Amino acid sequence: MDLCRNDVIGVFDAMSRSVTTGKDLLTSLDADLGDGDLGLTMVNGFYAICQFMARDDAPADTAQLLMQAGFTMAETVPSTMGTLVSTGIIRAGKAAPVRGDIDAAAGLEMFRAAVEGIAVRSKAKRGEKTLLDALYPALEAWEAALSTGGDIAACMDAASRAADLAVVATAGLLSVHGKAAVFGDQSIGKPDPGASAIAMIMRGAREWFLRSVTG
Amino acid sequence: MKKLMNKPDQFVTEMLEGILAAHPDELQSVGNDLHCLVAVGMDAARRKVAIVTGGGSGHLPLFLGFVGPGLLDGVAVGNVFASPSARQIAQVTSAVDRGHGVLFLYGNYSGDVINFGMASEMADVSGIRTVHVTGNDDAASSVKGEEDKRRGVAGIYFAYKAAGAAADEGLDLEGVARVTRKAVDRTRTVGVALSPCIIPEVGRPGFTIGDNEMELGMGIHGEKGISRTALKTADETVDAMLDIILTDMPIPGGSTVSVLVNGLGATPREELYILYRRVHKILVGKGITLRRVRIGEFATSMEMSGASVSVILLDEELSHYLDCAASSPLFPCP
Repeated sequence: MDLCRNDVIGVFDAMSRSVTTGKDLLTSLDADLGDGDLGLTMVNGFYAICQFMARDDAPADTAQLLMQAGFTMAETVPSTMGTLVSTGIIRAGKAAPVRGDIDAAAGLEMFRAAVEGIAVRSKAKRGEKTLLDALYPALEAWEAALSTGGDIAACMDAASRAADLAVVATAGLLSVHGKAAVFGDQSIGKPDPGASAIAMIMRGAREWFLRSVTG
Repeated sequence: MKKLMNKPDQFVTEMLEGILAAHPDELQSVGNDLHCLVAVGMDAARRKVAIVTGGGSGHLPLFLGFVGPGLLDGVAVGNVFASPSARQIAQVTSAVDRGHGVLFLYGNYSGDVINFGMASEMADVSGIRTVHVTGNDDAASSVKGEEDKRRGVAGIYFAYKAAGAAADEGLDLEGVARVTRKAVDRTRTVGVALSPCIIPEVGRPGFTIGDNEMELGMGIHGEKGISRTALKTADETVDAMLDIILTDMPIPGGSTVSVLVNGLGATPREELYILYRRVHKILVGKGITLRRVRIGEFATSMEMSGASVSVILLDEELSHYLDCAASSPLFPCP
């Protein structure tokens, strides 16, 4: 299956549901290593996106829809994580196919553009205990699934599973960015809240595919 | 708290209304938003990179006071000590872009970095190219080797001046960014605070400094400095400030520098000149030549008393750009 505009809206609804369910977990992870507002940031940000996408005057074109959704989220939750996730959504929109649905290959290009945009804005590198430590493994898993002939559902499944595993691995890393950096060695043993949020968002998308593919 | 104002929550709005009423020939707002200001009389057909800055209120003449001919094209003004929004920055950007790209030049604070970053995404979607340069001259705000974590303070003036002049001379976006980065890389500032500042809507100081105390290295929002000591003399204070600056950026004899002594809001110019006297003596004693010395208020912190000293190590190119004509209604040293 490939994704049309309305499927994209469905995916964002599922992501929104996923972060809403996981809000308390994100909040407590962030309270350990940040200022504890991450759960609220994600819930409010995705809620604003869903409200925007449901509007009658929302863009008919998927690329515009995603870019405007990113701006909406950025304005609703102008925190570091809110802005970085928004950047990813905007970049994905910019990389979306001009016409036609999104297949696994187009999805990879969108995902790659999103990750690269987030990497530039965050000024972080892999291994520094940030959301990138979930995004890069997920991106690689998507690429691997595509190379073995997987469709977009299979790619999302692989990417989401890779992100879940990567979050566990972030516990072994040392925080060097943002408020978490002040915890230094004490950050070791705790998973990164940003990476956890990414995995949660991707789990929402994966669940949408599971529901849609099995009908 | 003793402030001349009406309602605390109207502090920034009324300040902006006053500025626009006082300087209608120089500044105008765009997009029906007082927080989005651009220079009047921009020649849209001119082949020139535009420069946009922005940041919180409470620091006049920073940031909006540096919009004008030979300086910056536009500014997004935030509330007191708060970043303007990405949309406001993007709005100013669209208003000043002439099709040759826009330099974003602002202080290295997380809120501003985030919002200018998002404004870049917005500008990009509208086909406007942006390059970021952040001021990080405060040598006391992070150790050497971690310059990217340092805050931007009064020394950003030199970056504004160089950027504005380079853009005026027709350099392209990469060229203007290169000159601006060079100015930033060669500037160091250290400040000292004698008394705290009060955010109007808070109504009381967020921290205290004892009657006989001073804090070396305090930031312009009251960020913690390097050391809290008993009040020193002006000469001893300058010695401590220059020691940090010259350790961080050694300046060989025979070099040429420009120096800026900045008042934080409640310190009289008399004291700034007493500080400069010692700066001059030390630098001249090291065989360093001083030119284009600036004494006044460039980056304040409401009614904080104290001062900062900035030094920029010049080369021929930067010297030339400091010499170029520039003006703005709030520019203290035309």
